[in-house]
Amino acid sequence: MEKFFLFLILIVPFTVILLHQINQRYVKDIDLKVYFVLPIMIYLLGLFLLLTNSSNLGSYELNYIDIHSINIPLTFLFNSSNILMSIVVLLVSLCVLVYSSKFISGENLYRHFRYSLFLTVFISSMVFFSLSNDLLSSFIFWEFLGLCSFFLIAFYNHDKKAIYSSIMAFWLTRLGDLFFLMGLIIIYFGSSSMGFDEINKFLSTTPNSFNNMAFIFILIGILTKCAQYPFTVWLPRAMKGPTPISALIHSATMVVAGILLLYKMSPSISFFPFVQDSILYIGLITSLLCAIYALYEDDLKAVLAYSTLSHIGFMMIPLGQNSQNLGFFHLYSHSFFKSLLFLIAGYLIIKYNENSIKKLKNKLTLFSPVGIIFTIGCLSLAGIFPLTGSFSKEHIIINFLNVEGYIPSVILIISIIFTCLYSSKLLFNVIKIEKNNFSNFFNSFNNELLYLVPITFLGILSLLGFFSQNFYLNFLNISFEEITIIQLLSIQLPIIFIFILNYFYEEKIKIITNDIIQISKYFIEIENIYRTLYRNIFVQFGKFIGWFDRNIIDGIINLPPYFIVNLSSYFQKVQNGFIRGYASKFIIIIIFVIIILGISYNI
Amino acid sequence: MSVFFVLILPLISIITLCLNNNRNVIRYLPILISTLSLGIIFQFVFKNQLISESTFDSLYVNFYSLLPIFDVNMSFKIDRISVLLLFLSQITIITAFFSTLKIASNGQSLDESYTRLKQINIWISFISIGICGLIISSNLFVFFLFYEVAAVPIFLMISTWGYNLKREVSGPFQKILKHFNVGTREYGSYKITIYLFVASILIFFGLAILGISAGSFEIMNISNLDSYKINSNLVFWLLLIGFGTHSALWPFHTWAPDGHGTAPTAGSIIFAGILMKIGVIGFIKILIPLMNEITLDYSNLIITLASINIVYGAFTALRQDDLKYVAAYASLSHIGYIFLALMTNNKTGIDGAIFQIISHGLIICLLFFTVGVIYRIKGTRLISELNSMLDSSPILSSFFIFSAFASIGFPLTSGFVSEFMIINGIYKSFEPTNLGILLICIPTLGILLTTVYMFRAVKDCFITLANKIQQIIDMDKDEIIICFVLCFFILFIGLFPSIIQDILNESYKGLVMK
Repeated sequence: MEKFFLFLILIVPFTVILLHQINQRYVKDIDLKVYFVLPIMIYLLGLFLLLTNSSNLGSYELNYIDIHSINIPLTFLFNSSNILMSIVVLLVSLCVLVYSSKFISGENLYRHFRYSLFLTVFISSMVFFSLSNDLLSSFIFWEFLGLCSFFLIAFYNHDKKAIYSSIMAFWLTRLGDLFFLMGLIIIYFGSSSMGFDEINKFLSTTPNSFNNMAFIFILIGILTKCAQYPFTVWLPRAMKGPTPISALIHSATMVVAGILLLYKMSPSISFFPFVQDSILYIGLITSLLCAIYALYEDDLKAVLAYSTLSHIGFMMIPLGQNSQNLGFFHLYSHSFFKSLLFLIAGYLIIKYNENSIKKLKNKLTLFSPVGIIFTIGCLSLAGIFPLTGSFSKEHIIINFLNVEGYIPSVILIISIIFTCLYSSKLLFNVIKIEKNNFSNFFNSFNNELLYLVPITFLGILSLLGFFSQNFYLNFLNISFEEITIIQLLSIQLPIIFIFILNYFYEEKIKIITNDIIQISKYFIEIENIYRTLYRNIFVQFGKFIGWFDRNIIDGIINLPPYFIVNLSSYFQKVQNGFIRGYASKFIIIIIFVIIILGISYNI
Repeated sequence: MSVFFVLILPLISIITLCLNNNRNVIRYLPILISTLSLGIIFQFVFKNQLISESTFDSLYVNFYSLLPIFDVNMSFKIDRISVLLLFLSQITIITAFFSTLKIASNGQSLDESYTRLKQINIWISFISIGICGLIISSNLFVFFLFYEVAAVPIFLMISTWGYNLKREVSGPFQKILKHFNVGTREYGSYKITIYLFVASILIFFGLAILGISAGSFEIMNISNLDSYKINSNLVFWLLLIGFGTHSALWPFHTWAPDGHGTAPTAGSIIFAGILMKIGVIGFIKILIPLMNEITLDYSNLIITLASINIVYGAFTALRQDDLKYVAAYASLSHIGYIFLALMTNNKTGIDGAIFQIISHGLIICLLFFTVGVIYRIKGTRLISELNSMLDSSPILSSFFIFSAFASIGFPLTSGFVSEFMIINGIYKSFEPTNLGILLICIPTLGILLTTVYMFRAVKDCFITLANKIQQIIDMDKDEIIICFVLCFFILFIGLFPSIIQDILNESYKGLVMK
């Protein structure tokens, strides 16, 4: 069964290729939606298999590198957390696939093929990544995620900015990947196994400085992929890609892959205090800075991107506190409402051809299907009870305040406040509150069905907070501490208060927060540092070395032949063809010989 | 025994091509013959059950003695490593033949271009004989003989079929460089010839001194001798510089970019795919097994030079404008990994080196082949002049991008396996020390830089869409076939590395220095 499931997921990209070949050769004018129909069907079958057989799936092992001293199989483990992650990935992916079929319907056949190919490769490798149970297979699919991200961000390749962002994302994540590779090799040398169980056992028994170093390397890989603080720059730029891609890759799945990896390695984190502290504080700093900066941003997708970063920070925090289930829970709930918001953003951007929140003001009526779902998404983003986003956030806050000291708690609270502010800004700027407009409610259903179905589905998932929490707890067979009503109220009331406050006093809040925003701007807009580094190291130094090689080294190499050529042209002059010349040289040489002979015989 | 036909078969195509003027014969016969050689190699692999565990060690044949006093024999030995190298050389040669198919439509009258095609195919066949003989030689004399057979046709190939390039010079040596007309194909061909000739003189003296002092030219006999007889500093330095120049070891590398840049596509493919490996083959066949004590003494030097090669080549490739120069410096950088891995002195590293030889050969063949096709279609190889290829010629771009991914060591391609093993081997050989961590940073930095320069090219030439696409111009069928074959092997090695490993089996033992 495991084998069949993996095979099913594996073949999807190949079916797309096959379909394209058939399409090109034999069928001329076909509805291009067919590129999405087949993957959707196969993924649906896969999802069905997972949901029905979740309890009786084991593990699957595939021989990969088997070379006398190195024997690394690729293992896929179907335990509850891995299956849960795959379910989340498949659910969001299905929505995005349905949405995409409408979203890119204007493109030609070849671009359809490219889009669907990379999208399916992405989804398949993400599922494999979720199921992988060893570092090497994680690394392999981790790299595939980067590849697909690169091509999908650069999908609009007439836009120079999109290409720039794609290459930047690729280079930065690749840098992290190579750190990951080094860490993996150092760990492998010690543990001589790649499986997470063995690695966790090994790391927790021998937390020496080399393993610490290796863990830091892996952490750097995770931070680049999750776009945590010093590497935040690539994710907001990646929003230049198509919106469904942002919804799937840059909010729900790829960027949280690092969290999943940390979750799998979590039993050994606590043995490395430095790593644990870095996870905690980097998460905290990112969540704060990005939440503040999101309030300043005007671009709809950029706000969502920064809010994604901030939420990934929230996921990192519990991982640094040894309560990994909370981080995973936030990952799980975040992916639904964030991809929902992205899909709606894409819908708005397509409909009004506007990116800016200011220009989108009052465009969406509250009592339309999208309006209602957008409201749900924004409330969930702010963490208002009883929507999906609220549960995980409450647990994180309570857990954090119980453990940590005074200053970190204040930081966390500030970032929660700013989360409320920007989600409120998002909601009240876009939504127009009108009465009695139910007559138009169903009008949009006809031609926008393919947009509305995935949005509605994700909206329902974000609405049913209790249900999704129970599903999570039952699936993993764990339980969280109960939240008392007092705790609940003490968190919810301020959040709701701030949320509504922002509606009435938006301008004033802007003035108050201006200073903080300026500070965060100083920290967030560090792209210039990367540019300078790139320009100095790669461009200038590369140019210099190129010049050095072409001119200096080549010049030195050419010195001896040049010398020989000159010498020969000098000697050529001796052979001038005149008898008097030869005669005079002959006499001179004779005299020389006589003198030398005379000296040597001491005459 | 039938495997020795790989030396004879190219002669058939040489003679036939000399006598025959049929166009299809000129075009397709060499390909057929090389494919036959490839088939013979596969047959050898299956007959001796190299893939499943068998006790096959090597096949030694002495055809006749030339000079019995010094053991100068016409002798050949095929072991497990040379089977793989033979396979690589045949693939390279086939790719080179495929790249010449399109020369025919280049300006001149049809008859003239067919005459030229005939000549180039004959020279490639000569190179094929030389390379195969060198790989399976078991005698220092035979080694040198076939080495010269392979080295001479290069001059003719570049000077007759090469390209002229523009190259601006500046700096203190401006006058000298201008004097030599840098960038022209004459310059390239003379440079490469003089370079390789000097290298071959050094190798000649090295081998002669080695053979005479050991009293035998037979490699097997020398390896049985006591080591003090042959471990001389002089021989080591002669051979190091000779082989190093051949493999473009820093600072004797400048022939490589100029040679690649001015050579025709077939020439570049052969250089990068197999000729640059002659030095490495020399290391594997002669320097490490015969003189392992002194090589071990100097291993730090070789590691340093290899590290410089990796980083320097990659940095130089960063801002090259010509795709061929990018590929040339890339291969320079990737050769560094091989030397680094050979010096690790443990099985993982040495196997990694052989993996890297094979994988780099395949990848660079694909890279140069696609660059050649780009030049044929677009008439330029400059990154600054190319754009929108992904939309205007999708299949070609897919192959180029595939090779870019393979060269950055993307998982499931052969590049990943070799890099993974090399880094593993380096770390293993330096134990868990800080030096080990530092040394694994070098190949990693190399991979990072490879990512930067390869994807700069991919971004600028392929993905950027500058203007509306009028029509799709793509590769021809025969070009697609050979690219597909190369991709297949790259992926095959990446997916099933254990098959290559089974062929190699225990052969790392001869390369571990004591």
